[in-house]
Amino acid sequence: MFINKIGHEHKEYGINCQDYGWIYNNIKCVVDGCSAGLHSEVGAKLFCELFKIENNIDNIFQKIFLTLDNSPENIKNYMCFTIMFVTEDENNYIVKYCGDGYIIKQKHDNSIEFDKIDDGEYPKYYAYNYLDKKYLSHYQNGVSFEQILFPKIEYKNIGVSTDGLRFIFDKEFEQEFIKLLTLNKEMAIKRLINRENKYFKDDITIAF
Amino acid sequence: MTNELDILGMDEIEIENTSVEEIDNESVNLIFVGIDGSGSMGGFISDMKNSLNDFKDALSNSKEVDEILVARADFADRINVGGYKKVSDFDTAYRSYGMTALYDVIVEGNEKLINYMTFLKNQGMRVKAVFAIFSDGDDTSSTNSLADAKRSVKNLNDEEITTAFISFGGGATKIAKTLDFKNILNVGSSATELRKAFNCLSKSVIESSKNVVNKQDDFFTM
Repeated sequence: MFINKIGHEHKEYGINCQDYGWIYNNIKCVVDGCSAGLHSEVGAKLFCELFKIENNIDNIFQKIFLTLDNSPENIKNYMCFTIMFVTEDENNYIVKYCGDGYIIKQKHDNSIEFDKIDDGEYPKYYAYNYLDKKYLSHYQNGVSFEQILFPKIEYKNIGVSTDGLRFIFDKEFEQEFIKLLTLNKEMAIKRLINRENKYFKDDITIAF
Repeated sequence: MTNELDILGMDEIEIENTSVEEIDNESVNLIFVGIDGSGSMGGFISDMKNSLNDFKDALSNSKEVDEILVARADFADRINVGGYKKVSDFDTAYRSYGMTALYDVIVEGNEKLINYMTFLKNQGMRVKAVFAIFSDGDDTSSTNSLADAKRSVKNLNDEEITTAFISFGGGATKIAKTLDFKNILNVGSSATELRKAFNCLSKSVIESSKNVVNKQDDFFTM
């Protein structure tokens, strides 16, 4: 299941969708551009496209910097985005992330749980690794990917979502949304997001 | 009071048309095709069947087929406005008899289209629509008036629905203009022209499905 929807406030203010992602070769990936950047969707989309063919994150950033040089301005405007992805081996689902969002967990009894990944006010953007310390008030020693393993014996499916998912919680449609996730009803979830668009203020991308 | 149409948990409008659950898409293009079945079409019954088959085949073979739902409406002495169904369910049978209840089919067609469109939008669907009429002549038997039909076409135009009229043999061109259809295609009165008309209609429907925004003008693609 892959869902990528622009947020209501992005439409209201004429800001592009800054989320992106894909499911490709058994990898589920979502990225969420920082809204403080002028066009963070540019770096986010370039990253995603290159990540389909290359799994070394630093190589990907270097390739992007061949076009958008790594000046502090460019990094701020184009390269600040959360990265979350799920791979799997024989025994585990492996979630790696740098930044904030949600991990969606489905157990074999079909129950769904969400793990919120929250860096607080300052999400960890991998691009900080390419900035001189003097430009950073946080993460001056760099940032790295975190990894969590979810055993397949316990979990039926693991997915990731950008933080736009937060707008489902405590709403009338929360249980409907979760039920549709359980049933893997991609189109029905897209319609629900369209229908309840005013609540989905931020972009939302789900790879599950 | 128990409403037996609610037994399956579906609204009546979903039973008459296609239920949201059956549409594996978040965007849909609703195509209303009003077909003149009056006695004057009697010489073209088998050509009409062939043209309807070609129309169905063209839509079925297009990449956009999953986004298209078609309602067929027949009008002669009486009208029969069908629901919006998948292209595979489009009925290609044809017969002709009696008079031309053109205004009635426009009035009822408008009402049913707007109702279904509103229902789908409320379910979170992205909906576009085309309202097309094929006729060879003016109204001869409607209970609704010209003013009613004009009001319906205005409503369709106001809702940014593409309104299109195929005037077979040119006999209905004047009334199509009076009704304010935004797209009018005049074709000659022959089997070849009939085929051409439905070929044009299928191409135009497919093109309109490709566009994000409904084109109100320049609908017909030759």
